[in-house]
Amino acid sequence: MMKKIVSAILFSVLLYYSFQMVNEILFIKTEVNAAKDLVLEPKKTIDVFFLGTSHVYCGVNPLEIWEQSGITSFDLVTNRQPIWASYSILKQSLKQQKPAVIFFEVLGATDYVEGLIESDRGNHATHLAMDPIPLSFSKIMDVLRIDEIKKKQEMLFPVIYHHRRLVENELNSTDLLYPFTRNRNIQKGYVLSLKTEPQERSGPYPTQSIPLHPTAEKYLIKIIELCREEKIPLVLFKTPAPSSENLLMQLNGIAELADKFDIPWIDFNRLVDQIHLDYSTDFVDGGHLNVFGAKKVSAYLSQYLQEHFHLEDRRKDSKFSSWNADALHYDNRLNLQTTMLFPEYIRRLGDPHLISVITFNQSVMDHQANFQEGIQRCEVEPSDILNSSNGLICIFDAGKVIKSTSGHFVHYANDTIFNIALGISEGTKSSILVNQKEQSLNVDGVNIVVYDKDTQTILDRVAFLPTDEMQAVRDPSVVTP
Amino acid sequence: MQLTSFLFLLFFLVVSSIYYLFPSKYRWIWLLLVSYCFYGIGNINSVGLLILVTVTTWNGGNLIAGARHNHQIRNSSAHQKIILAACVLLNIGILVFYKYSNFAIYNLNRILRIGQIPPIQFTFNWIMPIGISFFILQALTYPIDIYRGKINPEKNPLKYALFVSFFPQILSGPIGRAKNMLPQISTNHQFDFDRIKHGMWRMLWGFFQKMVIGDRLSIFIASVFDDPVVFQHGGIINWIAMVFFGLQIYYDFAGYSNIAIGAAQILGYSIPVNFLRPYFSKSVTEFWKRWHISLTSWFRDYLYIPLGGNRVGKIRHAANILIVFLVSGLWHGANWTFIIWGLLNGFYQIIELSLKSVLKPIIGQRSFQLNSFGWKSLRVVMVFFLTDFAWIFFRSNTIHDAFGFIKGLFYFNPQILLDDQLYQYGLTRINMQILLIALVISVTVSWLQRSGSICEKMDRQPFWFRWAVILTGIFAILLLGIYGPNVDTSQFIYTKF
Repeated sequence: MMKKIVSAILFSVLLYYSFQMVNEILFIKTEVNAAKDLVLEPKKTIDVFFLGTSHVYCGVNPLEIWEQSGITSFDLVTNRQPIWASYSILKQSLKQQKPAVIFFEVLGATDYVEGLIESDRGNHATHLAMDPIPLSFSKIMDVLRIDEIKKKQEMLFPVIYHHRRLVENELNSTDLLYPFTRNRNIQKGYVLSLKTEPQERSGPYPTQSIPLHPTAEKYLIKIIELCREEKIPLVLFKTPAPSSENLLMQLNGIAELADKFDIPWIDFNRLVDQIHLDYSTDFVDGGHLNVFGAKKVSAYLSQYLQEHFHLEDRRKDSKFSSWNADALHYDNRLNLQTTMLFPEYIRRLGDPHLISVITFNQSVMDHQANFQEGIQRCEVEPSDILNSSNGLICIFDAGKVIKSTSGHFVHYANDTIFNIALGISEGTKSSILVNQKEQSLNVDGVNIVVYDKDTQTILDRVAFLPTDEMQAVRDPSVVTP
Repeated sequence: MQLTSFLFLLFFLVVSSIYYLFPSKYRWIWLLLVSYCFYGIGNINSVGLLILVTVTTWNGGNLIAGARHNHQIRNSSAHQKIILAACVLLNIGILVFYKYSNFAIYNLNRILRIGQIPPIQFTFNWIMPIGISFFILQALTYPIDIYRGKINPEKNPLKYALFVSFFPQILSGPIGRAKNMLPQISTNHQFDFDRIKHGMWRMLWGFFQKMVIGDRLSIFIASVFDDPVVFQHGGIINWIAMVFFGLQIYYDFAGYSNIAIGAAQILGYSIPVNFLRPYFSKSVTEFWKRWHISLTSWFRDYLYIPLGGNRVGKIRHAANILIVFLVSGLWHGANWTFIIWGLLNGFYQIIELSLKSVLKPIIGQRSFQLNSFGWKSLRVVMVFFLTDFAWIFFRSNTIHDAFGFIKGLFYFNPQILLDDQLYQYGLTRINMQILLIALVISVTVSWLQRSGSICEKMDRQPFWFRWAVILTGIFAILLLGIYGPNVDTSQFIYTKF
């Protein structure tokens, strides 16, 4: 009998993990899957949580804060994250992280409208936020206790909500590999937006205030109480955005509520001039900041954290070295495509999140001096290029030369990302195939294709001309006769 | 509460866990309590009716037994007969009243219209109590079997109440018999790991049949049968829909029955099977011995045999068959479509019997070895198509629609098999592929069942094989089953009856 009971228990454990795996495959992934992304961060390493909605993941950049202050932070946010989902995610996250301070961006509270709960929008947004949280006793209790979640079975077993994605051919390789990938979110929940759309500045603040919707207020108070129970200071804030008079009056209401509960309140709409926010250049759309706006808000928050909470600068702590690597990668995502100098470009390829394929044509040797520094970084001997009748191909992975050959072609498969790169360098020609698609600019000189392992996309295609200026070219028609 | 809902799974998990915490002697009390809760959720207004049926049949049975043993009553036999007749009439009256009142008014009005008499301006606006067709037939087995001297009366009315309301059966059967169920209620059911495991496997198979096959088929069927524009010129589509409905009603009801039987098995109760590979039948008569066995055997024992069965003249025998199938048709629903479906099946059997006697001299000759593979296969295919044809009336909303559908069968359009038109009726190519694979699995399982219980066969396999099969089954249902938001196929066809 004991054997049968043990067997039943083992089967149940296997069933539980298989069930988790199926849920992970099925739920809808976005750029940010806050709950799962945070799980992949080492325990008790995050100093600050930023909770809220998309205004947070567009407006607060934890890597900017890291670069400026060495404070670790995380945007615990998904798209249109309902306030009850913020509460639940915060509760679950506090089991593995012990932040020194929590920031809550109040759009999730002011954005609440009657009927949101029943709407497809509200239901879908709750799924986006809650589905990445693994099934546990605590999640079950949360879902049962949150009255606003009406379809509790679907929330506890996302497979019910999403299972048709399989039959409807909606699943892609990212979904299928998701349970087996452990790629940390290197931008710590931040979503990079480079687009710019000029906006009108909000009108003056009215003097009246409007209270929050009772449901929104209920969960805001729950968040306040949870932070008090955990003895973690809470700061309420609002990212800058063109706001209606109604919203501004709601923000007045929040200021009163913050005052009542003795909680710090930062309204960036009132700090626009102080942080030098430019409405013509710093927004993606009518609500979200772009990278330039986020930089200004993050700089302010960084300084605020240093001044008010005296958090430790961890930049030189070896335990946090991955943050430096992540910062470099973020910088590459931002600046690699505008880097024009060859040595500087090669330095950036040391980023462990990148794979690069570089082909050197023999013409490079005529301008050896100019390329020397870069070539040295590639660990390529100039004589190798000189002796090669077909030029030279190098593959960089995580900053190291994985393959270097003067042969006709080289084949390389990276098993972690299932990517196949094939390069051919022949005389003055260059061919670089990534996933069987030609990516080389095929310019006489040095051709480079850079692949981002995290996003599984081509980050940059560039060629450096064998001239004294070592000019970077990204449009081959400029040099093709 | 639908048996394929997560709510039922949760309910059953809690109920069965607590069930085994009770001392075995008192477990039936817990079952009675939860059975009434199960029936009461969503049908609270019908609980009174359930109690009425329980009280009248229990008292009826016990009065019959009392009359038999009371030597002071002069004409005991007539007395018993009167009590039984009153009990049967009352309960069948309840069924007829709830189920057929509006149908009767509708037909009466049609007759009145012919005589240009003003119609009756009245209809009953009630919702038919769920499961009424099943639990009344189940309850009636008690007074009838007592009258026939096959069982002794049950002294405990609460145990009897559990027999009538036993939750795995109450919604759509299988229709139990008092002589099988009442002794089980008084038995102390022990925790039996293997029995529980086998019950779970049976439930899993039921979920697969219902959710992966039955509900997938229903999408295609609904888009054809419910749309005259489609079925009037359906051609090949109609042929496919006809075959699909034959399969759907089987997988829907066999799936339900397996869930119910498996659930009862987990609780220690044994309910006889309801289906025995009916589409492998070689004659219509055999089909009706393998299809919805609990109902057909009920009609056989409590209607066909009392009418004289086959121990009468040929014409009377044929009439008996027609009466049974007419009642069977009516039992399924208050609509002429069901009546025609029943009569059609009755005629099939009469023709089959006639052919049997006509062909008797040549059966067994070299070209008529009916047990040869070729003849057997042809007979199986013929029975399959004959029953499928009859199902057209069962599925159509009106007789007019049924004849429109049959007319559509003769529309010539084989070209649609060559393009993607087939996938425009709710089932995409991948859904059709899933359906095909699931049907192959199901036929294979049926084939394996011929040589013994699948559970026993599974038990002989190594643990990793069993685990792999069960996990595959669970995830096949979770991933490929038709359920979830905006899906309205989850109701079992037979819960409507």
